[in-house]
Amino acid sequence: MTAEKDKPKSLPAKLLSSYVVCAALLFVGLEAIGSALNTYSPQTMALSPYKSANRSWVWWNVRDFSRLRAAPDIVLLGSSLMMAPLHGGDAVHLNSAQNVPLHHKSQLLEDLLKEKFDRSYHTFAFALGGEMVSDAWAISDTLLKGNRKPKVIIYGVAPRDFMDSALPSAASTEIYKYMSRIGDLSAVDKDAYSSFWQQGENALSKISFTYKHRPDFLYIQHRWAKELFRKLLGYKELELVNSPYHVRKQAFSELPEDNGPGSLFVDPPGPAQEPYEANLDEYRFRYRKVNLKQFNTQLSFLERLLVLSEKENIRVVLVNMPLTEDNINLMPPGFYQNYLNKVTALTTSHKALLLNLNDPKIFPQKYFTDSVHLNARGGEHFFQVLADRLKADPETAAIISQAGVEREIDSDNAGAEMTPEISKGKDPGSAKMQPKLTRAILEALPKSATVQDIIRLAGPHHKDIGSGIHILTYPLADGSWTLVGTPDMKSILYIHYQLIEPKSGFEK
Amino acid sequence: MLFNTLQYALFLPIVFALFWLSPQKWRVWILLSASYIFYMTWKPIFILLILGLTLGNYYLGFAVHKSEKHKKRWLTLAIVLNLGTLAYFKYAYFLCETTNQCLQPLGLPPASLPFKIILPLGISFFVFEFIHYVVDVYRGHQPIKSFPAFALFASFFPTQIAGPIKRFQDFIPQFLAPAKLTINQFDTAISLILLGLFKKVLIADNLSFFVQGGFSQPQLFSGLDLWIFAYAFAFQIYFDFSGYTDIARGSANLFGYKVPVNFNLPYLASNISDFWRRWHISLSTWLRDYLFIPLGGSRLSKWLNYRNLIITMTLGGLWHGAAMHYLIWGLYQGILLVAHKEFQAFKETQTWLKNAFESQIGKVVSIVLTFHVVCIGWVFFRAETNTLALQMLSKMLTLAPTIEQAAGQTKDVAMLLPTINYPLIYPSVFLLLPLLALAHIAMGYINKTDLIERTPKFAKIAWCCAMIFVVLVFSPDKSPRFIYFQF
Repeated sequence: MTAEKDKPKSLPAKLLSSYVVCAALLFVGLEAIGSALNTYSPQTMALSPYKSANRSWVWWNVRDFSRLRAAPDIVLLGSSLMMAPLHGGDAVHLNSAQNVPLHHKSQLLEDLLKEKFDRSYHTFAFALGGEMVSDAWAISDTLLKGNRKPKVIIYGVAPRDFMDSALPSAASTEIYKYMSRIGDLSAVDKDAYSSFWQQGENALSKISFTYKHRPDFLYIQHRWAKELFRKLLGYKELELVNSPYHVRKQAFSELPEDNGPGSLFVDPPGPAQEPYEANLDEYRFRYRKVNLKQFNTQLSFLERLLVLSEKENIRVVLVNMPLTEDNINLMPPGFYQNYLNKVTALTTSHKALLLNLNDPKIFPQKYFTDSVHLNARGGEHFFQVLADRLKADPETAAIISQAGVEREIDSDNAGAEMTPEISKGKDPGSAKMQPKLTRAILEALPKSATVQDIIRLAGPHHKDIGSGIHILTYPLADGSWTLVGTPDMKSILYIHYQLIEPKSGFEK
Repeated sequence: MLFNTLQYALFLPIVFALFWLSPQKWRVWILLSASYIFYMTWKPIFILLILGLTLGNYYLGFAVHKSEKHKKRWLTLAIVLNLGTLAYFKYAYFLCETTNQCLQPLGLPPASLPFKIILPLGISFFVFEFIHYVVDVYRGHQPIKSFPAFALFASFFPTQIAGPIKRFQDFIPQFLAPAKLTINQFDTAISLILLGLFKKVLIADNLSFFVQGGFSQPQLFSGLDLWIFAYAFAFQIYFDFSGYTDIARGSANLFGYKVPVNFNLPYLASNISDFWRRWHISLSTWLRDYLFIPLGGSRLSKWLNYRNLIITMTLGGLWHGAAMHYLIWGLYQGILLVAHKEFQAFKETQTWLKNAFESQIGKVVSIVLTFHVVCIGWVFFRAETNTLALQMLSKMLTLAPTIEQAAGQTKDVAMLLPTINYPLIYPSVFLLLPLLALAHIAMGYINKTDLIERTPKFAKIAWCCAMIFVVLVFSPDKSPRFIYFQF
């Protein structure tokens, strides 16, 4: 017995006597089980890329795109340079504030095209802040194919989309990360992950089930945590988005993107000239060094996008976005011309259309809100110019007019089509109501006032246009409107006033 | 190279394998080469700095030891070399700025440095190790004969960047004895590394995003919010630094070496003096042995003793960073220590007070009070400037409302934010912070009762497996650097 005990252990026996080695083996085993279950019985794991712990800008777009009943006729791609005119243009056109997370189309462009081609169109916008060319390609490759493909892609590009010092690699943007959860982008891994270590991390995510599904586990953890907090603390609303946008933007910029309906609005401009903010320091940083590798990689993604669109028979209209001269002067010498030459050459070789709208005569400084972004009136002007140019190009005009022929739908219903669940909610006060409230009454309310106090004063609300929280609307005696934000139909979070009847993001 | 990166996850096993597969005589060289490679992954040029200081201190150590007449001169030269290097790299900008602020009222033009100085990683730590070495040799200890052993003492990669600050008397004999790796040692080492990663990536990194917001934009938050940020930072810095130390200790254990423990549940300290016996122990003992005692320590009169305490802690504060807010933080710690000594003396004369503090409730109150004075200190430590720190503290002391709350319901702002009723990520913090405090108490119990030793193997396996999962899943994409790397 003693001799047996003293006998030196074999290496495997020695290793198995280590609890760390056993734990590693157990972990590998669990990984294999998880992987097998996800492959052969996906309903058991119920992991879905559409479930996300944080709702980034791209998450909202993908969610609403996946709810479309039919493919849109035109898809708009681009960075915040396209996003600004999109929301600003519609804010002017509709004379109402645009709810950014929910507003994914250009009503202005639809109406302009309807006017020019006498057809109704559906647009969908994947214009997202910080979108690089690689992101635009990832969106196209993942979503704009097969029965979801549009007839036309209008893609607004600018030099920053090809070379940004603030960006370590193509795969490091939120958009790319999210799209790689939805589609298989592994064919371009070599270009998307620039450093050896990033490629290593990507390889790890392919080997390890756990590492690959980190966002899913985070989602599960968030859901459980929220449930726990609800039970323990009684809170109903635990979303990050309930914090005022300016607090999040200023104080929690390092946190993952997380937005909710109503977290950001683009308002129609007032009668005065819109303010201009010089943001040259930001762009000095972005352009600070010529990264030819990044530039060429992004060009290769543009070529991939053009090839893919050719294959799918989608007309691509590249729009060289307007910039201020101050901004162009920050770029390294010769960079802008080189960018334009390369983009022109690619567009020509792939039979796409390039519209160069970077012309200070068409877009003088009064149309800019900073050195790169168009203001609301600039946005309106941008789409007017764009619609004219689309009509002026015979090939594009022919495709657009054919798109209209195939399907004529009243575009006013597009929002409802995208988000059918809006019709489920019943608004107690949607029937005609007599305005009883005035601004003076509301302003005289004590700080401790509750929603019940307002109901006592004015009866039930007209509509509830909120999604993450309740946003109750009341007509005022002077013809204007008030919005009462409340998380629980008791405490009042805010009271806003506006001149026109408020609508939910779904209704716009 | 950071401990919480893929680079380190590859580097450590490679060095581990090379070390144990090589003959004994090569092992110091393998670790030394690995340590220099580790250092060069940041900025290769700074290898010259660490090599230069190693050579200088190695020979100066012998000079101090051998010289009979000029022992003190050699020691002075060694200290000037070390502190001069530290002052140049770490304090040149600070001195320049402070001089300019002094010259400004006189109308003199501001001075500027004609060149850019980059602060080398870990310089504060290895410079303190060198000073400890030459001072102890001066005090009569034998110098280290083996150059590779001496070089490894200062550059040992697990402790190179952020300590713990080692003592050569404890460290060098471990090189001389042949290293042996047992399964138990391996298990303990990996468990420590996993625990360190858990503390860093799950707790400290996730708290850091929250803390960053509050400390960078205090004007946006209420006084109550700011207290929560201060508590959150208290736990962030503890878990960040103790997590780093655990990884360092675990990594060292993998090669058969032990490095000092740096923390002993500091937030269970019952007074500020007790806190400094539990927090960053290797630094506080260094400050005691090489600054406080040479200044005269507590052997002098009461007021000189207090002067020494304040000087020691103020310089200790400045060691953390070349900025006024670190200096104020150090001064605050010194004043607290003096106040504590005075209070102790007063307490001894008041029996009722002594009895009250020695009761169970009194002990709990002491711990809670100590934690809060430490948190106030952390505000100076974490805030980017003293102005911001004072702004935060004034709001914290008055529990001032947010701008929105103060503004009330206006047509422009139109925001009411009753912090308690309608929080954002605060609920999680309300829950998380007490949990962390409870974890702290639980760890105290576990340490006391040797619970880990008595845990059955299956439970250890499950715990390790869970740690691996947590580290893989919850590490943020952008993990901030360890806080103490900047010092």
